[in-house]
Amino acid sequence: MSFIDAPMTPLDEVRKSPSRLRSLLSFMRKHPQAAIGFVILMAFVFIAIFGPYFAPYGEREQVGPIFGTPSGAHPLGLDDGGIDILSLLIYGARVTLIVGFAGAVVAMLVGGSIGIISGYFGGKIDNALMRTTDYFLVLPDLVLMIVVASIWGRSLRNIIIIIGLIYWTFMARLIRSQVKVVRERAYVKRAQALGATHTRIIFRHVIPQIAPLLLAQTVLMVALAIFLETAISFLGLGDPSVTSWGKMIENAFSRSAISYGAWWAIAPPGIAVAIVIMAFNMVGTAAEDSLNPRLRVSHLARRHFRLRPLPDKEPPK
Amino acid sequence: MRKLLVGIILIAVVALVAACGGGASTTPGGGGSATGGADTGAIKEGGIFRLGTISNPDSINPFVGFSSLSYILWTETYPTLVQYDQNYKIIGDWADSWTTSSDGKVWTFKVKPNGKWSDGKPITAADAAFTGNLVVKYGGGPAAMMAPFVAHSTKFEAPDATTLVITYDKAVANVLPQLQQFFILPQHVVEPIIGDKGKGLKTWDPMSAGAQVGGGAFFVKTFEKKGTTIIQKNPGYYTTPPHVDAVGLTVYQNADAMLAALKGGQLDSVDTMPPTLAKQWSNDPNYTLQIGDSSFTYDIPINSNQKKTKHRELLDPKVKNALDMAVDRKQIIDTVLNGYGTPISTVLTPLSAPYNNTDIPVPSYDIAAANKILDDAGYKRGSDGIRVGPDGSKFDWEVITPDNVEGIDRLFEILKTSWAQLGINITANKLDSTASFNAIGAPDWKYLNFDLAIWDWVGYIDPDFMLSVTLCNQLGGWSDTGYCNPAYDKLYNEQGVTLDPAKRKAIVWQMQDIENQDHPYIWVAQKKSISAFGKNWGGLTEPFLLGMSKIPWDIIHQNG
Amino acid sequence: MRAGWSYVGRRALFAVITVFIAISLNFVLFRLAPGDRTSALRCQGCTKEFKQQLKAEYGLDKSVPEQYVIYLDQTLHGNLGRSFVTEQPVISELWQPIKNTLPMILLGTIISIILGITTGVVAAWRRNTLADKGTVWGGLLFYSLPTQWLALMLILYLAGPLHLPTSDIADPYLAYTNPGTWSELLDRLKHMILPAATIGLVLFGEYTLIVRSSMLEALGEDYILTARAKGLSNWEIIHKHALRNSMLPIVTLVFLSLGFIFGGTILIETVFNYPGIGLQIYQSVGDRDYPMLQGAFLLLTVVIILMNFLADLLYFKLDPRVTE
Repeated sequence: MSFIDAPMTPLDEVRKSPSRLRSLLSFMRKHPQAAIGFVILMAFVFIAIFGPYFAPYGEREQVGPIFGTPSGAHPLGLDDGGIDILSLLIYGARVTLIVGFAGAVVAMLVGGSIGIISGYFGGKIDNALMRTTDYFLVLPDLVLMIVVASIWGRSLRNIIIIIGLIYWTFMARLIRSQVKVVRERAYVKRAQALGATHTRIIFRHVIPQIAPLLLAQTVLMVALAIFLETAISFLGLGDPSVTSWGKMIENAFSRSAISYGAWWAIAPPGIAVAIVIMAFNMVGTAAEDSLNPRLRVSHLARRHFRLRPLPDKEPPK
Repeated sequence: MRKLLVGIILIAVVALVAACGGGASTTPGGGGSATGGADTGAIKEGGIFRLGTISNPDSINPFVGFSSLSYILWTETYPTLVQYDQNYKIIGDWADSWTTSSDGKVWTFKVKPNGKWSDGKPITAADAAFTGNLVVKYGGGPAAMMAPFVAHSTKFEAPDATTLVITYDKAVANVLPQLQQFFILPQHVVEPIIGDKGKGLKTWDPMSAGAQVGGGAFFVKTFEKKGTTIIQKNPGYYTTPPHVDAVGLTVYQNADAMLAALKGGQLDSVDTMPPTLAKQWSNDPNYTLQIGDSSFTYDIPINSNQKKTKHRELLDPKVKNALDMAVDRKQIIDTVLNGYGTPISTVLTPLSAPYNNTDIPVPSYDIAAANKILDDAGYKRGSDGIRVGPDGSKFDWEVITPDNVEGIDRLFEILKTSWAQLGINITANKLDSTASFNAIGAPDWKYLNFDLAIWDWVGYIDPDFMLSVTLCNQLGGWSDTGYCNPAYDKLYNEQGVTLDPAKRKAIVWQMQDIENQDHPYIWVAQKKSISAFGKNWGGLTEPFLLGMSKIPWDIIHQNG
Repeated sequence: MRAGWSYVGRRALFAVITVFIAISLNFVLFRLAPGDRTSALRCQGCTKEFKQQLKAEYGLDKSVPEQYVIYLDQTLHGNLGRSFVTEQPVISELWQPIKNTLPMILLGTIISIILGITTGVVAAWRRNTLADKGTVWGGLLFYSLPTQWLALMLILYLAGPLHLPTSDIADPYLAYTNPGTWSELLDRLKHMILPAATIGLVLFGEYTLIVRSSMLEALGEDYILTARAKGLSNWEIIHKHALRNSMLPIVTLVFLSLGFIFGGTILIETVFNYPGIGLQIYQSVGDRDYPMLQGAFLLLTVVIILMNFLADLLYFKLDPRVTE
C-alpha cells in the first residue's frame, strides 16, 4: 500500500458525533499542540488585520540612524533605513500571511479540482492528468520560481500564482485517491443509479466528504507558501513595493547587518516566520493525523520531496 | 549499523578538526591578522597581496568581459601605451614619448625596448600594431569591446620594434585617455585563433594554455570567475618591478563574507567597503581606511524621448526641474551612503576636472518651491491628491530599479516619500540589469514605454564617454534616457576634435548647460570610494580606482 | 506474483518520457522569456549588421519550430550551448559547480540521518516523555526556520567560536603555498561543515519521525518481547531489530531528497558564498544567461527523475508488499 492512498475511517466517526463543536473540542484535547498552534495563528491573524492601526511608527518612517540599537522607544531596534523594526514586523505580518493564504488557496483550487476530476472520472482523463502531475512533481521548485520571478516580473501576484502552480500536485494526488474511495461508497452509487448528474454528485456528495482533508492539506500548504515567499524575497525576487518578513531578512543581509552586528535586524523576522510556520504545521498535522492515521510518512517530507507515491493500488472492494 | 558508526566517526573527526584548526590561515609572507604598527618605511620584498571584492571579473578575454574587475586584471597584465598617475594625469607607461603630426592625425610612439611576455617572447611595437589593426578590422563585430579606445583610427604600423605609428581619420582630442584602456595583446598568441570573420576572438580562452600570456607587471596564473584569481609577477616587465610576488583577487558574494575574511586575516585589503560599516572600521587600530573620490554616481534617468506618447508631462522642463528640487540629497547620502558621498548636479564629477561644470548649482531641497513651480505650471491636484496633466495624464509613474545597484531600495523609498509631497506617486519595477535596460529601451529601442529609472554610472576621467551616452546615435547603444538633441551632438563632435584644452573645456561646459536645461538625468550624489588595508602593508596611499589607473605596485610593500 | 521486469520497464519508460518532456518544456520556458541574446548587447560600436550576424549565429532568426528541432538535436547530442557570459560551453561551466555541491550535500545528508536516527531512537525509547516531545518538536522547529535565516544564525553565532570560515569552498591562497593533500582536505572540510550543518539541521526532522514511528511499531511486536525475554541488551534490540524497520523508508527518503536538495542549495550557497550549482543558477538568472539556465534546469530535472526512479526500484526490491 502506498503512503498517501489510505482510506479514511475516522471521518465516519466524526460524522456520527453529536455536535461539531463537541468533536472539535475533543479533537483539541487529543491533540493539544493543535490548540496551541491555533491560538498562535489567531494571534498573528489579529496582528495582521489590526496591527497597522496601532503600530508605533510608520512603515517608511525613518526615526533614527541606520541599524539603531534596541532601546526603550524601539525595543527591536532600527533596520538599515532607520525604520522601527517592531512596526515593520507588524506590517510585514499582513503581507506574509496574505501571500501564504492566497498561494495555498490557489494550490487548493487547482489541485483540488484536478484531483476531483481525476478521481471521479478515472480512465483516460485520470491517466493524462496524473502524468501531467508527475511532470510537475519533478520540477525543481525554487529554481523554477526564481526563473519565473526574474523573467516575468517580481510581484506578489506572480509569487502567489507560482506557488499555486507548483504545489497543486500535492493536493491533486491526495484528493484524487480520496475521491476514488468516496466514489465507491454506497450512497454515491445509489445517487448515480437514480440518475443524478455528475456535477450534482460531486457537489452534494464528494466534496463534503473530502472537505476536511482538503482543509487540513490547505493549512499545511500555507506553511509551505510562507516558507517559499521568505526564500524568494531573500533572493531579491520579492515584490519591491511591500515589506514582508522575508524582505526584512533580505534588507539586513544585503546591507551588511551581520558585519555590523545588528542581530536585531535579522533575528526577529526569522523567528516570526518560524513561529507562524510551526503553528500552521501543528494545526494541519493534527488535523491530518486524525483524518488519515495510516499516513506513515511525515508531512515534513512533503516540502522537499513532494513524495510521489508508488504506482497506485486500487482499494480493495 | 555500520553506517551509523562511520557517521559518528566522521562527525567526531570534523569536530576535532574544527576545534584544532586555528583562525587565520598561515600564508607566505604577508597576511595573518595584522597587529598594529604604522608604515615603518622598511620594505620587506615578496609576499602575496590578497585583495577582496564583491564584484567579479566576468572574463579574461578583453573582447568579451566588461566588468570593472576584468579591467583591473587587464590593466595589470597587458601593456598599455599610457596610464594615469595618482593625480589623474596622463603619463607614459610602455610608451616613453610620443609626437603628433601637425594636423593631429598621426601619432608616433616610442616604446620601451626591454619588455618580455610571460612566456619569454619580446614585446615589440609589432604586437601593438597587430592588436590595433585587429580592432580596426573587426571593431564593428567581435572586437567591438575594444573599439572605443581606438575610435577614429584607421591603421597601426610598426616601422621598427620600438616605434608605433597610429593614423586617425581626424584630429581626435582624447587620444591618450582612450589609449589608457587599449590593451596590447601578444600577436603570437592571438593571431592563430582569430578564426573566420574574427569569430575566434569571442570564444578565445586566454587561459587555455594553462596560464595567460601576459605582458604587464603580472600575468594571470589562475583565473576563477567567482573564486580567486592569482596574478603572478612577470619577470619580463618593462619597467620597475613590483615588490610583491603575486596578487590575489578573491570574489565574495556579499560584503559580510568579505569583511569577515579581512578581519580573520585571510585578506590584506578590500576594494570597496560598504558605507554602512565604514565608521566601525575606521575605529579599528589594525586597519587603515582610505577614503577618496570616485566617479560612481547615482542618477535618475527620465524618459526624454520627444516622440513618446505616455506621460508627456515628463518632457516638461519645469516638471523635471521641480523633481530635481524635491530630491533630498542629504537624506539619501546619510541613509544610503551613511554620509560617505557628496551631492552633484552634472554628469561629470570632480574627477574629470576641469571639465566638470562647477557653475551648475546643486538645487537645495525645497518642497514648497517645487510645489509652487508645479502649481504655476498648471498641474492641478486630483481628488486623490495626485497631480494631473492637461491631457489627463496622472503623475503616477513607474520607476525601473535594477537590482544590482547598491542601496537602491532605500533610495527609492526616500524618493517616494519626498515626491508624494508634490502630489506624485511612484511605484518600483525591480528587474535585473539586463531586463532593466531592455525595459528602458522598450519597445525595440524606441524608448516609448518607460517613465523613470534609478541607476548608477561610473564615468572615466576623460569626459568623452559620459558625454557620449546622451547622443542620438546611442539610442539602442548606451542611452538609458531616450534623449536626442542635434545641437548637443554637434557640440560633442566639436569637443572631440578640439585639441586646445581651454577651448575644449568651454564646449564641454556648454554641453552640460544644455543637459541641465533638458534634464535627461537628475544627478543625485557621488559616492566616496572606501577601501581598507591591514596595517602590515605600506605604500597604500589611495583607494583603488577600480581600473582607472595602474595600482602602484612599485610602492606597495610589506612592512619590514 | 511479482512481475518484476514489467514494473522496472514501466518506471524506466516513464523516466525517459519525463526527461523528454523536461527538455521540451525547458525550451518553451526560456524561449518565452522576453528579450533575447542580442538585445542584451550593449556595446558602443555594435553595428546593426553585427547584431544581425549574432542573431543568425544563435539561430534566433529562424522560426520557433525550427529552433526547437535544432535545440532538440543539439541537446540529445550533448551540446548544451555556450554560456552568454563566458562564451564557454555550458557543460564545462556547470561541471565545477556540480563537483563543489555534491560533497557538501552528501555531508549534510549524513548529518541529518545521524541526527535523525539518534533523536528518533531516543524519542521512541522514551516515548511520551519530555525527551520524546522535545526531539520531535525540535525537528519541527528547525524545519520551520527559513533556511537562509538559519544559515545566517550559524554564521553569526557558531562560526566565530568554532573558528570556521564562512565563505567559499577553500582558502584561496592555500594552494599557492604548496601544502600537503591532508591540509587541503582539512581546509575543504572546514569550509563545508557549516553549509552541511545547515542542511542537516533543516532535514533531520523527517528522519526523526520515520525512525520514531518505525521503532514504536517494531517495539510493540512480539519478537521484541521474545528478544527481551532472551536477555538481549537494549542496544542489540534497537539496532538489530527496531532500526531495521526504518532502513527502507530512510533510504527511500535519501534518494528522493538528494534530487531536490541539489537544486535547493540556492539559499544556503548564497549565504555562504559557496560556489556550487545553487549559486551558479542564482547568478545565471541575474545574468540572463539562458543557455546556462537551460542546462542547469535540465540537469536538475534529470537528477530528480533519476533519483525518483532509483527510489522506485529500491522500494520495489525491498518491499514485498508492492506488486503490479
